[in-house]
Amino acid sequence: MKKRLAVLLATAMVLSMALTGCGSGGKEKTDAGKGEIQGTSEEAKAENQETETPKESEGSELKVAFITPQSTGDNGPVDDIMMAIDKVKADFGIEVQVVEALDTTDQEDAVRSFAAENYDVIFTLFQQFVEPVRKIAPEYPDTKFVLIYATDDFGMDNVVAYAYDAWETSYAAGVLAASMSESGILGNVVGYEDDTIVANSNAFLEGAKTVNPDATVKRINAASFEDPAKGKEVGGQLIADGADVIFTDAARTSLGVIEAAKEADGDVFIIGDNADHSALAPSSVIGDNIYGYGNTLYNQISDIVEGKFTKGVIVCSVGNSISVLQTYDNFGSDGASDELKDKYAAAVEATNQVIEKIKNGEVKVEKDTTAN
Amino acid sequence: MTQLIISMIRCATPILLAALGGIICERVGVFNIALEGMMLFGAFFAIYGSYLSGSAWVGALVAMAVCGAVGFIFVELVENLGAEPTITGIGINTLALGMTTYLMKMVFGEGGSISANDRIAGFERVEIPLVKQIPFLGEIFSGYTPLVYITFILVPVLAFWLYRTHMGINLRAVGEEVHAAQAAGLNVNRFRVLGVMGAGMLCGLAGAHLSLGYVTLFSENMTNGRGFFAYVAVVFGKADPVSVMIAALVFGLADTLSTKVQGNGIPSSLVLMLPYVVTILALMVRSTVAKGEKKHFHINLTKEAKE
Repeated sequence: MKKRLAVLLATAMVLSMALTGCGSGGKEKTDAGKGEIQGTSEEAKAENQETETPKESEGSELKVAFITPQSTGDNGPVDDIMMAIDKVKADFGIEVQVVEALDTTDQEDAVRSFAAENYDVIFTLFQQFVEPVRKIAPEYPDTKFVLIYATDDFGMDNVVAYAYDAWETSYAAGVLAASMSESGILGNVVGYEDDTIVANSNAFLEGAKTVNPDATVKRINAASFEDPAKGKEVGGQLIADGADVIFTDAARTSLGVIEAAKEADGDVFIIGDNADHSALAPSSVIGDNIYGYGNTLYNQISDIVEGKFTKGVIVCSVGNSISVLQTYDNFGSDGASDELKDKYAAAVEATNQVIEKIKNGEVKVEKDTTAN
Repeated sequence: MTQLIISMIRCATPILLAALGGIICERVGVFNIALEGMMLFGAFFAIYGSYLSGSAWVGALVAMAVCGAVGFIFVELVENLGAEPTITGIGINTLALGMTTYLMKMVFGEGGSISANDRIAGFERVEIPLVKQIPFLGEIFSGYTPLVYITFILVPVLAFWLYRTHMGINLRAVGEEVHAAQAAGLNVNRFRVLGVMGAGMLCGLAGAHLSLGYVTLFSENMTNGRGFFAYVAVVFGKADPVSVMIAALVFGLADTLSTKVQGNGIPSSLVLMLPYVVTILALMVRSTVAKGEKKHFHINLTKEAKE
């Protein structure tokens, strides 16, 4: 009986993994450490728990919260925002309360408790927060809700959503990649496949083709944003298939891809996503595709400080300089040849020209979501 | 083809190493679903040990020691304090995830992942001098990190120990016929405690392989279900080392194919189901065969001992 239970249990676990493996579970996390509070100040924990107490200082200081569905240290979106939060503290002296609400059930509670505490601005990240905010925002007209990575316009005066046209920078990444590639075979490792990620991948190929018409992109879905071992396997596989530039859209899984590139014989380059990866491998990381989550938070706070707030949907793109393709002046600082550095400088130059063209409308990058 | 085999072996190793621990647990009759959590502890403490000492081997030893201790806690709870093994196992898994994440933030001051730290030494790849030159086999057998070799050496060692030594036979008796073992004067409790601690050490080694051999970094929840696959491999392989190795290789192959086959017009989500489909099929085949034998999978090994 016990053994049968064991087999049953194992089957159930594998099944549940199968479901999360190919479902939308990619961006979510398990429930450990749920509701964990990562305060930027000492009393973060205490403050979050006493929901009923009136706020201590009624001064002009802005009370800002950021609720993340993914834990910090992802070498991706959340870390990008954490950096912006440090910058906000340095520039405006505003402390942003950070809460990790990893569980769907915690997310609504987190939004509601900050709103109930009369926070002035509440930032949320990713789609999970669209419904909670839609429900809660009307009850707290004095609180401003900022949805990062959402496309919904609720028509409410206190809600703004930021959408990201990340395919524009992906197109530029294609130009950079093809300029650096010898083989013309490019790799793309993704954590899962949604419209934006597929559009990025297609734009990446389009961009590459402007440099090398024969360029091809091999996209592999690693089905996880948090499996560096898998990333290394997949990266190694792409390299074995001849890819010499790999573009990632896979958060922590990318770390493994970078290791694979570092250990490869010959030059293999990486264009990462949403965080500065150059310190990990100065001669491999040639760029990072920054959607601009951190910039969003910083700009929004600086606007609010100046008394400005725009409702609706704001599209972040190369055009308004929120999304950027970050390149590195210190490329090859750990001993790349001068020849390679020159090649990189030329590639960056070409890429920047394309970015200028996207900005002034000469080049239009379409959102193409056809999966191949 | 060579790439496929190499990739299969690499993907299978962490699963197999943890599964070897699972075999011991099955053989002493302790249901242990905590392989995943033990592996995760191992992955973290291997990094920590390597960080403190600058040696990957010390890291692996630290991982083994910690996981041995976790195994001890687990088996004490289950055997001597009467805790439900399934619940305890899930508890250990959850604890591992929470605790490694917390310790990472405490010790290294960064959440999410630790990498590119100069003080963390990973395992170097081993190129076997002569074998390396043989055209096809050289590529397949040379160039892995040391724990891969150790894992595959452990398979026959464990098989020999289980089937051909007194201690191994006693150990199996404990799992198969507790009362007979007791009547024969064996200290059942000691076998179980030491067995599960040994299993913990193997899981620790599996974790060390993942964080220091496979990649040189630690990231939150980096085992990503490999411990559960290990358990399934144990069930599938009837807790027999060689069969379990084959099961682990099948999972490794499925895992490799799930990324290799992508990009040929087949939707990736479909291909990615492969390892899980293989697992479910394996379990179905397994239980059908077990039914045919009319006995339970790991009570059925006495005839092998007679050979």
